Amino acid sequence: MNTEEIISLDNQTSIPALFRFRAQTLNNKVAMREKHFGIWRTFSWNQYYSSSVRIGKAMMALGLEPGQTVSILADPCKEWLFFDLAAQCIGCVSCGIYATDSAPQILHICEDSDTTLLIVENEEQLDKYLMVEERLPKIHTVVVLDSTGLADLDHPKVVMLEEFYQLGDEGDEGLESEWNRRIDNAEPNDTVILVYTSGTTGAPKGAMLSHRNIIFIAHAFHEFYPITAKDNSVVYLPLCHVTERLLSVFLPLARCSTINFIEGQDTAFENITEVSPTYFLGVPRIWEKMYSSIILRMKDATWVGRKALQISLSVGSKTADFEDKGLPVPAHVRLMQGAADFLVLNNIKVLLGLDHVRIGLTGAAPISPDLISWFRALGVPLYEAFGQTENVAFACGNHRGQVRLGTVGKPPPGVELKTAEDGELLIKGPLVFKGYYKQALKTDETIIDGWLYTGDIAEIDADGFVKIVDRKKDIIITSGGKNISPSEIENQLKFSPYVTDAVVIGDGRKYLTCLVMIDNETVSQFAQENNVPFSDFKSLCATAEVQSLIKSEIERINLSLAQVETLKKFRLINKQLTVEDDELTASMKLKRNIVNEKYADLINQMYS
Amino acid sequence: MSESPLLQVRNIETFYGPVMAIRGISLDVHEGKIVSILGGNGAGKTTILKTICGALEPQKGTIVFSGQDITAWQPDKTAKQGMGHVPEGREVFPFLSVKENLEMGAYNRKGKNEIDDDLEMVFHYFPDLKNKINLQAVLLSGGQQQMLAIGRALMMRPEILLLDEPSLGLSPLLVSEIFDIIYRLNSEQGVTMLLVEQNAHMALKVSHTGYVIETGRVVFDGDRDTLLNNPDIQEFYLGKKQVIGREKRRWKQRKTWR
Repeated sequence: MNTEEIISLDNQTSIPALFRFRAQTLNNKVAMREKHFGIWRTFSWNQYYSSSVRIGKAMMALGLEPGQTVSILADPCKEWLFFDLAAQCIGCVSCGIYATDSAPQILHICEDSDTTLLIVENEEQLDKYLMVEERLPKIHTVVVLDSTGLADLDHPKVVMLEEFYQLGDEGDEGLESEWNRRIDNAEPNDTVILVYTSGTTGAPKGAMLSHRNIIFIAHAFHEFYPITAKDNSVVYLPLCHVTERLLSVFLPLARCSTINFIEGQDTAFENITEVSPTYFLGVPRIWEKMYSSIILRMKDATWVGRKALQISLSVGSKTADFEDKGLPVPAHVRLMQGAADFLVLNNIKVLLGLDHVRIGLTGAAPISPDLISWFRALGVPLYEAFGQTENVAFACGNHRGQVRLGTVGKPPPGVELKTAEDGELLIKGPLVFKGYYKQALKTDETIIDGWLYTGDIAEIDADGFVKIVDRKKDIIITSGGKNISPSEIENQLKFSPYVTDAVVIGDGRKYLTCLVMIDNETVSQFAQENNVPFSDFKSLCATAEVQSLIKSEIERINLSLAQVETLKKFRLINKQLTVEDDELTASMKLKRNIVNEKYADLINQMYS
Repeated sequence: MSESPLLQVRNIETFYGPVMAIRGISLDVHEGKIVSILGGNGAGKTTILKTICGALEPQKGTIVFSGQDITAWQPDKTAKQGMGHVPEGREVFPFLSVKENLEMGAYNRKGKNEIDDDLEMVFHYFPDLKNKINLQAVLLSGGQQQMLAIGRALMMRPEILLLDEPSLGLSPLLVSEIFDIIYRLNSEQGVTMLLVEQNAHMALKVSHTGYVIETGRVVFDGDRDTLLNNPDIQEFYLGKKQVIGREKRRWKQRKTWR
């Protein structure tokens, strides 16, 4: 495809036009479900659209002009989408902010993105804004979605959601036609959303994505993972993350599927079981947690139960092997598969809420191939895909009949991939973003001659499957001069149910070591089973039994590693980390550089 | 603390039917100390005490009391062994007099003189009870009933006193009075105590060490000062506020217990 080609979906070339078209044609079909006091309530495409119109009119009444930025600071909820699309429809740029971000981080994003209208979820988020209010003079209005506890607040800039709706309803007649005019005016190359990259190095940068980028990806995604109007998904990751935005906002727009909001992070797994989605994207951590929960349950099961699962999984992996290669499954295997499903596997899938999953995806972080094959044996079609903010979260993926474990699959039609001389993966196509907002220099470093420099070292095999080796800057060069990819080793470690995450260390050192974050739940259970007394997390980490448990896990992994890659020593991170800690990213990955800094003492112990 | 603890609990798990209320708890109580167990509603605090005294049987784990394995012993046996349990909600005998209630505490003991001495000791600490010596227990106020329950347990000369929420339903003034007496009983009489409390403020004032329980597991433990100085404990249990933002409001960080 050359860049001149018009990319459209149902003859619509922009997201707002597509949204309007969907509302007209789908009417009362359910667009989303949200749980309210324990009962799932549905919202139709009509309600979706008319709410956005009301909000958009209010935004225009406040004088928002095309190109200005609207930021949303909230956990996923239906209003998030209403505001997101309203902003897009009136030609504004919509920008999401993590609800877990601190006031200084919010200040940076609002300042950098030139935000003029800020939407905050509740009192808690509002307070963060108020802490940095003076330094954000460009913000003229702040909308609060949930006004609980704010009845006595009198602030000239703050408006409650209900008042904001009214503002739109009471606006003058011309707003309705202005709304439609602005939708018609949207140019495919206009920036529609701004997504801030998590920024493990330096301050977050805002990636500008256009209508064209997104509509192209909607097509590309469909080539590999056909989603229909009958499909259901769960919204549980932050919507400011490009992956969740794609899956929960843009793909439903493109394919008319239904989304379901979880109540909160604590109930995510229960809600997933209730909804039983038909397509589901999990970050590796989610799949790891599901796997661990089953492994734990099986430890308490009877011998017969364990044996039954083992046999069923081996049948399942045979079936999966045929399917991966795109071959027909022989009759006798199908028969056994039927029995295994009926007796064992279906029950487990129901337990996890994965019984209806047609398309399971993993991405955003490396995952152990063993974990993928375990789920595939269980009968969950789990595919590993690869994407970044800069390419709308999707550049290549494994898909039905085209699965090669340990790779991130092939690119969809229209996407060109190649590797640079140093092995860096380069991407070309309509999926490549416009650039970083106000950062021409950084943009020029990232896009050269139309090729997007991903910062990932990759290998592309003869059949076109892409294998991601590691982040370019994460490659470890030992003092002996060996190049080692830490994430491969870390993934193997993470496959252990006792390990949540690990960081391999050894850049410029004589040998490799690692810091391990253990899984509180599984290791506590291990301690219980072996009568190891402990009180809190710290004392659990300190027990000799837990130390030797992790040691044996590491020794097991060392067997499969080359001599230079073996881990000589390890230390446990003896505090329980949460997203609010600096050490973890929003998707609960350990940040290598911060861990290296914060635990310098522990690291030095291993080299003295 | 090198000497072996008076009460040693190791990895106990207790179920109510299919519900696992205690998911592996280990704790130590040394002689002459007050140890408190803190936690919110339904954390499993009372269940721990009931499991220790034998009212509930643990599915797993061991309880060693003065060198003897008493796991799953019946309450009457643990009581004879020297465990005085002051149950939640007092549970005094309503239609017996104050004196009869106290005498019930000494049911297993012999030696009238010593019992009389102890009765005097109880009245020394709880002078209110002496004034109502012949009154039926049901006619006492909540605070007096609580005193009676503690007094009744003292009458058996326990090696350890298991106190289950002595502050329950009492006015702040009475709470501090009760805790004052608890403190004096420990410092003057050397009574070892395992204290279950929701009122963390009071409990930490008197105890030497503490364990924080959440959903049937220890999430934090340490001596008094460690607990008092921990920012999470201060915020979630002692109600200290981090002041940020508008009008001295504060937002909880998610609990982490590091």
